[in-house]
Amino acid sequence: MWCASIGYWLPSGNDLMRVGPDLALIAAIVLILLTTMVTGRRALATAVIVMLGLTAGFLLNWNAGVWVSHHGPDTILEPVPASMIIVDGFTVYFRFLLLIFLAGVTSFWLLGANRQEKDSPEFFTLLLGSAVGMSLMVSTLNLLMIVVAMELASLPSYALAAFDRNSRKGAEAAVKYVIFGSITAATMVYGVSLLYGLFGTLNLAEIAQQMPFVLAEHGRTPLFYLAILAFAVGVGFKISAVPFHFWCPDVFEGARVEVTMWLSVASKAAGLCLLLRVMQTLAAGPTGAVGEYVGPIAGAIGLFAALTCFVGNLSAYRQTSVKRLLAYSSIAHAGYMLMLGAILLRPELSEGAWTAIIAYLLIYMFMNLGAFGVTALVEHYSGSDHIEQFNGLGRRAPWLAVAMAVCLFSLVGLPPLGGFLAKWWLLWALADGGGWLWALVIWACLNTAFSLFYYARIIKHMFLTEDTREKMRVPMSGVAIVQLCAVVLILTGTILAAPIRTAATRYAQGLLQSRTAETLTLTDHAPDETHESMLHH
Amino acid sequence: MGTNVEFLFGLLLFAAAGVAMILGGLLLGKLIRPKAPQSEKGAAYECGEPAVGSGWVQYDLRFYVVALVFVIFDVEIMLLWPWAVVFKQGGAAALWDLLFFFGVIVVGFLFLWRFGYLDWVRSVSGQVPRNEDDQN
Amino acid sequence: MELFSQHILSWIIFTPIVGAALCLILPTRWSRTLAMAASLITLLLCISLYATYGPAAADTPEARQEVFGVQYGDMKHVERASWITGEKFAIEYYLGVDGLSFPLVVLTGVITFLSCWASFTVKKAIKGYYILFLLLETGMLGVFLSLDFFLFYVFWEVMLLPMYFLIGVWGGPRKEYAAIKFFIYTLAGSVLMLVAIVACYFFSASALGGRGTFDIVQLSTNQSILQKFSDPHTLLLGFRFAPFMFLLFAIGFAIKVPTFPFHTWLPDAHVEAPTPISMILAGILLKMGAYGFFRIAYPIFPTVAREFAWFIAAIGVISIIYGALCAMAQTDFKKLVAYSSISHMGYVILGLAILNKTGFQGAMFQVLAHGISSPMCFFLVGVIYERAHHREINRFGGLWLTMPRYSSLATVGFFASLGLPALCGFIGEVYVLLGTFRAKDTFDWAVPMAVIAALGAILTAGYILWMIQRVYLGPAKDEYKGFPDANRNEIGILVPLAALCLLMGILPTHTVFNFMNGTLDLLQEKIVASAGIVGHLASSIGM
Repeated sequence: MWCASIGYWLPSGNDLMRVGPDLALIAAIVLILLTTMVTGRRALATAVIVMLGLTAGFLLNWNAGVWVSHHGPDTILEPVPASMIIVDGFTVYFRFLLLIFLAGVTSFWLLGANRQEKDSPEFFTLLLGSAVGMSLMVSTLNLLMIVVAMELASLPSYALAAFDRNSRKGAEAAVKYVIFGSITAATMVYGVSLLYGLFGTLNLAEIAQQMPFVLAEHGRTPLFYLAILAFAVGVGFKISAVPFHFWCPDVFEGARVEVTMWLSVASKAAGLCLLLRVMQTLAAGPTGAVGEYVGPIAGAIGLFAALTCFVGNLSAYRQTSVKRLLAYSSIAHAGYMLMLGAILLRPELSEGAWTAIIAYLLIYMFMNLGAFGVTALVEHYSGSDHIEQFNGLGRRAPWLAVAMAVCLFSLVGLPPLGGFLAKWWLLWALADGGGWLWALVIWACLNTAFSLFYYARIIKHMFLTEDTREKMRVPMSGVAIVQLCAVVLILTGTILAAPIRTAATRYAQGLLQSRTAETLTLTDHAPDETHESMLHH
Repeated sequence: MGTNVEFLFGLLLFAAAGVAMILGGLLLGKLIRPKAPQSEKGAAYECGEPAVGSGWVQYDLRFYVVALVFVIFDVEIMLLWPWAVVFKQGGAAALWDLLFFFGVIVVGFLFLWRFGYLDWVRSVSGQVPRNEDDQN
Repeated sequence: MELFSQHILSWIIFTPIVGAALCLILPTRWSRTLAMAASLITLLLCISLYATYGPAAADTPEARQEVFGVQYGDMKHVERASWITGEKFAIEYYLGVDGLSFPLVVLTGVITFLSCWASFTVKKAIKGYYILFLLLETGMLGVFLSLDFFLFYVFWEVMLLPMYFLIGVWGGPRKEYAAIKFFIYTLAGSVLMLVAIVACYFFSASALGGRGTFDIVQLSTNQSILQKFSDPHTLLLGFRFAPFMFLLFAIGFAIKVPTFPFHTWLPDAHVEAPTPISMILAGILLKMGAYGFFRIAYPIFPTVAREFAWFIAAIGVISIIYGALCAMAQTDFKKLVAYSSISHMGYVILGLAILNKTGFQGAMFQVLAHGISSPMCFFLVGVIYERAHHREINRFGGLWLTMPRYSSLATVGFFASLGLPALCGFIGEVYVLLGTFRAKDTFDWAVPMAVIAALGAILTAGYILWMIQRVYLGPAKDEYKGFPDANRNEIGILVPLAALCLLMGILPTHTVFNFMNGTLDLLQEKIVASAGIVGHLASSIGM
């Protein structure tokens, strides 16, 4: 809302409702701190507040979703071209995933709470803080906001990685994480400043509009690529794309299982969604004029995606820590999803790509929630996530083992499970592009076959290896959550396959229509001073 | 593409000039400065108090906590400055804006206070009991 | 009743799943009964398809046309419903049966029921065992009956998971290795197939203009699709489309068959799998590879089948000879039977490669004959393993004297596998060899191939007779004296199999050919016509 009387832009209550979920999470953080001051450190009280915050966030997000579906995307904090926050269908969708996943992480933390009760307030403060950052990462096209959001997501993550204060591995991992994170963040800021220098704006949508003119007239293509590369370093770190994945193994092994779950799924998904949004925006510049400049970027993304899934699969192969193994598998999956970045730059393919990413993220979240959930329960029970601890799980805790098997087979991508459908739509979207993208299709398929090796190792330990230990006592609620994940995966692979595809397609179409509308507004609004001067130079 | 090449060349020249400036300075200094090696030259401070012990001792963690809190409030002041500039136009809404922001920080500050992170001399009872170091 | 008669194929596929669900819910002591009941009902449902195919027994042109239609792709009992549909694609739930799949469906019903019966030896975790067993049956029937590529792939993989566990949990000492090897090999093959399926879709889209198709029948009969696929200017990643795709499919199917370079999973899987699972593996799973060639690779890429016929035939002949030689070298009874499977399936590939009617009929007959005789052989090995707890051929001897009933049935089984006239193995091999000789006008290499393949028959006789001599003949050994003869269960399983071996050997036309030749001939004519090689091949049509 622009208050002309005071010449000052203020968010109206209506606008604030669009960022309501983020505010709900912040409110939960404040409440946690206040409550803890009054009652002392209590895991349950903290978790109740977190759950309340999540519920409130969920409802507000629902509300925002309804609003968006009626009014189109909302751009908050400033009128259109330079908006800091964009709340569109994709933002709402990603927030839903984030909130559900947060609920999962919270539950598993609570199930192991007997040994971590005292730390709960700090844990949840950090967790929710990084969640707010991730949510903001996906709801902005402003470069400065992207940097701030990424830092907001990263800083608590560093502390989370070192959360086990007595674990030397955790401390070492956190130091590596911080150093790696700071360097990549600095590089990213450098890239952002270069972009600003080139285009005179921080808004990516505007940059996309000006790109062909500025680059063609001033011959600054190398500098542009340098800027994009520097920017990509920061994002690449977040999604642990090769070659920025070195921090991953240590952090994932050193951190507690709930943290690993959080970092390897939510943090990666946020980075990925940010990247996809950026790619989509860059490609949405003046028709026909952008391809020349973004074409090489597509090739580079394809190459790094292929490398990422290969390195992820290769490194997972010999792991004996299940956390670490699953973390590597999530690198591989990030690689598969990153492949979609390569085709987002071609507008005619973007609907298929968005449909695929929407379906993939949903299923990916359930697969990992289930698999990490079982790992968490096993670790809570036996104090270790070594693969040997899974021996004979098929007999010792059959329901847990069956759920784990379903999640793992789904991660491989075997029908009739959701993971197969997710991968199928991904390959579909790639194949639709034809040409060199077929190489990516074949590569992804071969990687799938290869990935079976290490997933099947866990299966082998659970069902094929004899073990004489007594039956495992697992909390019913934990079993219920992982079983729920397994059921969701079976349903999404069979009878829900069609509804999910239809919903994802409709969502993607809505997203792209609103995007086009936004671009239109932008051209209407244009050209401001800088743009003008660039054009007429 | 000619402009590109030119541009790249310019960039290269710029980088080379930057490197030359630093290396040249160091090299020049090395060439013309007198050499008088003494043990005092190796000390941490050439003037002032003579250093005691190694510089690699572990500093008390309390310094870091205080430093962090200081940085947070320092940054907060930085954010207050532009706010103060436009405060008159913003009116009540601007005040609420800032109070919200400041409130969140104050809650964090109170949390630190309540759990004794700001006490220079902390009583042992206020600390979180820890498990034995199990990772080796 | 309407619901039943309209959806008979769905009933066939999903009856085992219902059985599996009941097994899951009801207590363990009922699992076996439930599984037996479910597989028996499935068998009866499969046999009920005879109502459609019975008239073909009349063997008149009218009866044939009535049953098999006028062109390849006329399916019976078609069920079509859209499953996942969008602007750009239509994945269907599409089932149908013709003369190619009908015998295989019946074979699946028979072998699954008998191996379910044979599962009385399984004592460990029987609830899980029977649930997986029934899931496996669903997967197998689904592969034979689905006509939509996507659905086909789903069933193809559905069959994979239960098999992994059935070998891995209930298998022998090296079960873990065998199970993962089986799993990886098959998955590697099937992901290549997945690439090919997606590619076929997108290239058919450009042929049809607009939406592509997953419809296997349409892909193999639509002229514009066939032309687009076989056009040498249709490229994918710089390779010619048809050979590239054919290769991807062929690797997937060849792993399953298995043919020579891809066979190494088979001896391990067979040796470690429990007896009933070995029966299924040999009796049905291997047939899926052959079925895939017949249903997918050959009809969709006829030009490649023609162009690389020499290569495929060579692979078939190498499998025959190599399998036989390996079998001869084995001292493990079960491994011998496993390698003999590789050798026998080689005839199927050879029969396919030569592209004439005799070859096709022989190949398909060989598929069915091997589907009966090899489960029987595996069960025979299982029976003796139950008693002796080892499988060393050289340590046996004189079993005929201690176990006369078992041994006489064993002779039927092994002689059928050997290819003795009047038993089922003979017909298939003879047809394939005859067909290969007849193809001499089309292919220069046909006669040498036939000669070498015929040599394989001699090798087969060699290793089987030698094995019979070492195991069953000779003086009775003391350590086996107390062995009980085959019990009622075992006789009950062996007698139907032996009877089928005899029936198929003596009355091949009335038991098998009448029910599949119609479709096979149409298929062969279609392939020959669309491969553009009417000349020589057409003249060597028929038998």
